[in-house]
Amino acid sequence: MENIWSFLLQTLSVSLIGLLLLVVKLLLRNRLSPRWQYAVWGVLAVRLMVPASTYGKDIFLPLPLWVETVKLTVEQGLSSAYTAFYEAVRVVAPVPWLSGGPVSVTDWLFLLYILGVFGMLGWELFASLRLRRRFQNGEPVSAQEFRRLQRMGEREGRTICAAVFLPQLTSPMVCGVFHLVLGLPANKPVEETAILHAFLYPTRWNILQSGFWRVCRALHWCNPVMWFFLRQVNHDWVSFCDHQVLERLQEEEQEGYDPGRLTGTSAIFDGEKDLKEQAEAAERRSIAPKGRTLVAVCVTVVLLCSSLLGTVEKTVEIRPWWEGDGSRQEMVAISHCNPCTTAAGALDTYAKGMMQENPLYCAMASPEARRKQLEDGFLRGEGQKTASETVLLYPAVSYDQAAEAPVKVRLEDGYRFDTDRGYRVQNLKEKDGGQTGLLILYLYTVPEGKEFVEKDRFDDMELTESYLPSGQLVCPVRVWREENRYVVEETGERAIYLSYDIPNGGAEYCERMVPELEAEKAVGKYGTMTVHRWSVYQVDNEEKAETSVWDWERGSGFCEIPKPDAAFSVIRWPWKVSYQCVDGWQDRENLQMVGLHVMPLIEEGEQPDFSELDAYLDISNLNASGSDNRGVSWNHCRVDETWDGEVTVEGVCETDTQGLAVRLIWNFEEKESFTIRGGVNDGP
Amino acid sequence: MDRNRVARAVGLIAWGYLLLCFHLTVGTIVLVPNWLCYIFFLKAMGGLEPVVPAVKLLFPLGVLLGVWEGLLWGMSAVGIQDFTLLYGLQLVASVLMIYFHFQFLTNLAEIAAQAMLPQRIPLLCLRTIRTLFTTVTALPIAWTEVYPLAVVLGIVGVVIGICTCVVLFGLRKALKRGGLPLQPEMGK
Repeated sequence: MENIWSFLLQTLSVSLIGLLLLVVKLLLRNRLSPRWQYAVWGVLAVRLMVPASTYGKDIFLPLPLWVETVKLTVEQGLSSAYTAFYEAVRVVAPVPWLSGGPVSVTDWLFLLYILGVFGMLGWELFASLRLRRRFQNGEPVSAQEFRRLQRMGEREGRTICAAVFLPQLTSPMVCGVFHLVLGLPANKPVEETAILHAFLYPTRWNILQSGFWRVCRALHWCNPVMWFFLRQVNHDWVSFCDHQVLERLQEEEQEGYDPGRLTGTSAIFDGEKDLKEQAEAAERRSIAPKGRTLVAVCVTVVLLCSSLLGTVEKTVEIRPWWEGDGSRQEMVAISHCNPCTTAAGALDTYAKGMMQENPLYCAMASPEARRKQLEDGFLRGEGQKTASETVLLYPAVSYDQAAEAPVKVRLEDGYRFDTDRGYRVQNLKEKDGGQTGLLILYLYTVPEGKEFVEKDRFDDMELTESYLPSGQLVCPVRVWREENRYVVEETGERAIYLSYDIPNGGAEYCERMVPELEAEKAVGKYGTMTVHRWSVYQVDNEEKAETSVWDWERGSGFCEIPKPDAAFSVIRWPWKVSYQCVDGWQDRENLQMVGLHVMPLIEEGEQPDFSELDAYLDISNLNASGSDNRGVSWNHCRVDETWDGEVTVEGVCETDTQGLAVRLIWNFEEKESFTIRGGVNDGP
Repeated sequence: MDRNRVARAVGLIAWGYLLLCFHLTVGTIVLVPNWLCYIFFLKAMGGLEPVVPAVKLLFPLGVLLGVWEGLLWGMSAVGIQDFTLLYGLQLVASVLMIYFHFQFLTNLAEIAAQAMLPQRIPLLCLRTIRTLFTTVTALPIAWTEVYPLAVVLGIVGVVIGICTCVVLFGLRKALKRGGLPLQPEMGK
């Protein structure tokens, strides 16, 4: 615990578990044995030793969110040396430590807490040493009595080194770890059962437990709820020892056993014993049924796993920005509690931040320096505006090809994002410890692109608002892991690629319009082949339709809430092969058709086999194209006066390929073939 | 001791376990809710108490579990499916369920033992298996996200439920048929 907030989170988490255990123990009070009633506190012990943030899950309640919200409210304006304002509160260890000198009020509070911990530990040590000194000053018993007591002790597996009378004691107790000393009350007769009770306490295991609970009390000294729990632990421990005594006594002796007469016996803490509770515990021993080991173990396992692992589902999820009934601090706290844990999650969060002009979403996926700027702006109520931004614009020359030279345009009204379609990521590749690629957001209309539309293609139709071109906003990005989260940074100038067609009921966004992942060229005897490849990554953001007896059916749409732990559910590799015939092909009088057959090579070392396509080498397929379920595609072009000498084949692979094999066909005969593997051109 | 009364109680319990296995749902409304099964159990406890007094320890737990199931049923009926903030209560209910069914089946096995009926061993086995199964499904692990595992767990749950019902109906039949008299237990 490195600041007051991590201590608060840890102590609240532990308190919650303690409360849970109390409720369960109360409900199973007369139903499970005293042994279980004490042993189940082991769940609390484990929880005390495990930091609250270990498994990243909430423990029944969104405590991390609540603590984070309070932290943001309190720390705003303070320059704490111990608290990271822009990071979620985390508990790294169950014990406190200082990382420097205190600066802010909250730092001083934390220092005060640490002093309190040492003070408590010091007091415990002092109390132990004082008890030890009293035993050293006690009056020894007679030799005969000592031998009798020694024999009693040996029957219980305890070897006492001495026995003394102490006037402060009201009932027997044993002190010491390695050299046990039995203390007896002075001037008062002592029953055998009381001595037996004292012998059962101080096993080394019990002493370790006692020390452990004392340390826990010191670590949580300022939490009164923890004091209450630890008192309950003490009571249950004493009840358990009573139970052990009873198990050793004969039945007729059990009837006479009255723990109410045991006062001042050694217990975990030096507090006052609650005799009424002791008597009630003794009565309960006769009610709890026996033979419940299996169910006791099962109940404890469920409690232990739940207290460690927390909830299955996250209790703190990012809310849509329009459900803004929470404060801005709470929304920032939610974003801190949901770091981007995957590259896909960071890209998804960043894209949605851009689409909704939400600086908080962008902050979640931004590097530290930019995050601070964006969060501060959000807390001040500022949004992200893109109006009047200047951007590069690439008009379309065909449905899958953009102009080579862009123009600069000024956006009058910002971006008009197609929020039903969302975004996609393309061309990711490893670079410099991260990944680079293109983040592409869909624009339903681009009014600034109206002047670049070829009007003659639309029969003098007036381009009204409904018939403006759509486009794709392409942002070069880099995504990498910064400490415990993934972040996104734009690495180049944004560009809009206009679509070739006017959306009439639905825009189409061509994946091959944007720059490719890689391009390879090969020059053969009959022409030049160019292979273009892209890769496309998408997160599943489809919101399914829901129906219930009470609700109307809702259609599916695009989920606008960031998914910081998303994974890419769709990955595909579009490709395009274009073949430009060699100069002079027009002079070949007998040339009737030119075709391309393309086969993706999936396995390493796979050899192409076009034999199945030989069936299409027929006059009936003079001007035709097709593909099969293996991803093999083909295109035959009729050679006439309108043909420009180029053949193109496109396809999509659902898995990454080792390469592409291409076969050139002239007049239904194979002329040459190429194979390109992993950027290496095997040539014809 | 009236064997027929005990047999009727065992029959009620058997029906309760049968209804616990199967859910008939229309939209978001469960037509045979779990809280109904707990009503059967609580009603049956009155008939068992003279023979197995320890069963009275289960009555408060049965009431709590019935109320909890009723709350879940009501929330589900009005379309509330998100129970994440009730996770703490769900955990307590799971723990109580583990204990309740363990002890309940143990008490029924004691009745079979008193009457020297062969259903004692199957009931103890089913008790153990059911306890382990309920413990596994109560752990905070997303079993349902792995489809084959969810199917296996579902089948195992149904099989355990059916076996329990078969044994309990058998016990009821055997009790009605006659045999050794049932003696009230003395403070066990």
